[in-house]
Amino acid sequence: MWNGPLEKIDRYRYRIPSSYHGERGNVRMRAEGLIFASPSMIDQIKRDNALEQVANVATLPGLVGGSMAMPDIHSGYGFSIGGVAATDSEEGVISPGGVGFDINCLSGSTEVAMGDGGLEEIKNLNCKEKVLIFDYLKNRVEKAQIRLALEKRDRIFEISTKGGYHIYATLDHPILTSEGMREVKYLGKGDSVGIYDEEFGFDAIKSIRPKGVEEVFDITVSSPLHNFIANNFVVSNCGVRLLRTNLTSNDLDEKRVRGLVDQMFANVPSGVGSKGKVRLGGKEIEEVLEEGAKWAVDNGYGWKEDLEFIEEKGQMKTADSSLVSEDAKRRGIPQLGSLGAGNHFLEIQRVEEIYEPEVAKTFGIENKGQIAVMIHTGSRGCGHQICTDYLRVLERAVRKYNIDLPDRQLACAPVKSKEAEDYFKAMACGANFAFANRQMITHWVREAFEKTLNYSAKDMGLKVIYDVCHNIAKLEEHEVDKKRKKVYVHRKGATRAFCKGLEQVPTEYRSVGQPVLIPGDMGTASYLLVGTEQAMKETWGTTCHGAGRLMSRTRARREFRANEIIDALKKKGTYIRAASLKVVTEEAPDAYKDVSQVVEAVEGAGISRKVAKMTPLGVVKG
Amino acid sequence: MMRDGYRLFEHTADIGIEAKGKTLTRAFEEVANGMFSIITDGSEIESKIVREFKIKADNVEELLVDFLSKLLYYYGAESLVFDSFDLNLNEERLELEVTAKGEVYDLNKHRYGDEIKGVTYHNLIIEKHKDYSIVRVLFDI
Repeated sequence: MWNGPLEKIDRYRYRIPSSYHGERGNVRMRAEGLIFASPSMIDQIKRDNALEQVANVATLPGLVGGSMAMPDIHSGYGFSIGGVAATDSEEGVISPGGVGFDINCLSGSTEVAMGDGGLEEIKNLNCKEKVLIFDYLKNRVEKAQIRLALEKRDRIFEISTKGGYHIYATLDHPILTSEGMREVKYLGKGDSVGIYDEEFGFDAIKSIRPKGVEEVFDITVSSPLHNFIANNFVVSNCGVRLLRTNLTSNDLDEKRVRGLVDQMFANVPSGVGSKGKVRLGGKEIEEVLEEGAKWAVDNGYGWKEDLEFIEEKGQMKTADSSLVSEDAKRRGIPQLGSLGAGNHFLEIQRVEEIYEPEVAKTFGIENKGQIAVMIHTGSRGCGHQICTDYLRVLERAVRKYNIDLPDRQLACAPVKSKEAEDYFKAMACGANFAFANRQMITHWVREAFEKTLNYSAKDMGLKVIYDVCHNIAKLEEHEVDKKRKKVYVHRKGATRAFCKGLEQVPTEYRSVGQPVLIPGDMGTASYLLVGTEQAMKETWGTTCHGAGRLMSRTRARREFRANEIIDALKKKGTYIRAASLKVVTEEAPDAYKDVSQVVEAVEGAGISRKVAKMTPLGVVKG
Repeated sequence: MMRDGYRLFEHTADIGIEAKGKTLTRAFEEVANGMFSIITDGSEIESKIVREFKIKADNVEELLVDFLSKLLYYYGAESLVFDSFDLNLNEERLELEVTAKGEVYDLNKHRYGDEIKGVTYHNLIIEKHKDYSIVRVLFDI
């Protein structure tokens, strides 16, 4: 729960003043936090620690401009999801969004067991010693190497449970709860906390009372308890692609929709561990990693003109496949050309509303009822392995460059360091894999339409409207204090939304601006937006990326039944074909936030405008 | 006495495993079992194929994450799922020798579980108690 200052600027903007020093008083914001949200969303946003993360990001070395958050903001690791920040291209850092250490505040009286079995008082310890750490949770032992032992004064709280247990801890101390680890500040009466007393069990909190200020020790252990595995962020280049057609919903009766969905399901490998139909030989994976969608087109997947309608033309030129491990390549080879599972999908959509007919027409959307196809997937196991590999590199960089951050999970490396440069080039490889993946899937979607409807894809006008990344860091030139300046823009769960006139916007769209694709959750609406000048001025040309999860997968599985969801979707005219019924419950529409509210807020703030709204007729889920 | 085993716990977007074992080695084995039960939704896996590998790390947490990441690698690169693990853990030298047995993932035989993107260090816990060890690890799904 957020208790810090939050000033309302206007109906869609809130500010965290840079005078805020954080919950623990150790945050030195270099600039203010700027949150885009409507009043109806702000209560929910305040509920987790996303806003504290916005303040923390404002401390990044070399930060240029403010630390921003889009309306779909929710708590991430290090950065919030929906977080946007730019860093100086000379003096800044590149942050994968957080690789951190766990910092436990222990009182001075805490006994510390040395690695050799002896006991030592915490204040006598030296860094680098191997210890077992006993903390307030009785019996909880952690073997680790100490990196940092700082003495400080902090507020101690006593957590009493109904069963008569007491835990003493500082506000930022993580406590085991039935919902996972939670810092004390997020706990309240009635929450279940884990108790070890011979047997492991949970007990409800009766009260949490302040016990005054005591000497505590910040023990930073070597156990790299970094939260965020970079694959959520920079590496995976999860993204969205939208295709248009000349068809309208009148051309597709229920039977044809089913036929198309079944054919797409057959054509595009999906589901957990899904493997592509293609076997790459020799050095081909390296070509994929360096050439992205261009590789796919050169090898017969799709049309040359598709490349014009992809962010970066489907190829991050900074990619260097020599910086990607053999493991990542081998994980990537079998999965190229597959959808995967989870929130990834293929949808046949019907244009439900057109808000700006002229802009829509420029993008190839002419009529209500027109059929479009949306593809949502990323870089699969290849990107995840790149992330796993670079996690280690960046974690070491934080120590090496001694970067001072309020949240160690915001790990980063100076832009000119070898670590940052290598990471940036490897990350680009992950992005290229994702571009190639969406390009190959596009090809198979076209084949599915051709086979089912007996027209050629060209005749059906199955063109790419656009393809966006929504987890990526990029070197871009923006206006800062009336001068052009190169900055690294970090978009973590956010989408580039460039305005009209810019060379990065495809020539055909340059008079209106860049299309922005916002996927809804399964069975609800998705949106086509357009970038604005306001976004260029205020958000480095950035807007929101989607709905965002509200409920855990396991909880969704408990609360929803697959057949009921499928029936409910069917009543709304949506046919779904999923590799797994389990995924259907996990991705239930009610497990997500309302995407329409998110889109209203970014339009209200002027950082993008609604062009069209689409609803699904048919869905392929992993 | 507590029995060896694992259970899943929830997280807003991800899933974690808490595993218990009489020894840390057993807890490591259990967490690996738990990981493949997430992937295959608890389907039975036969021991037909063997993979052996060695891990060396800077600390025990890295050892655990590298161990699970390597298993995920075999899953991604070779489509292997495992259900039997024979581990030789040297805590002093921070080395782990692994013999994993399993088979090729088969759509008709194994059910769909969740796709695991990566093993995270988020709130990773490795606890050594007198009679048992506990490991908690969160997966990026």
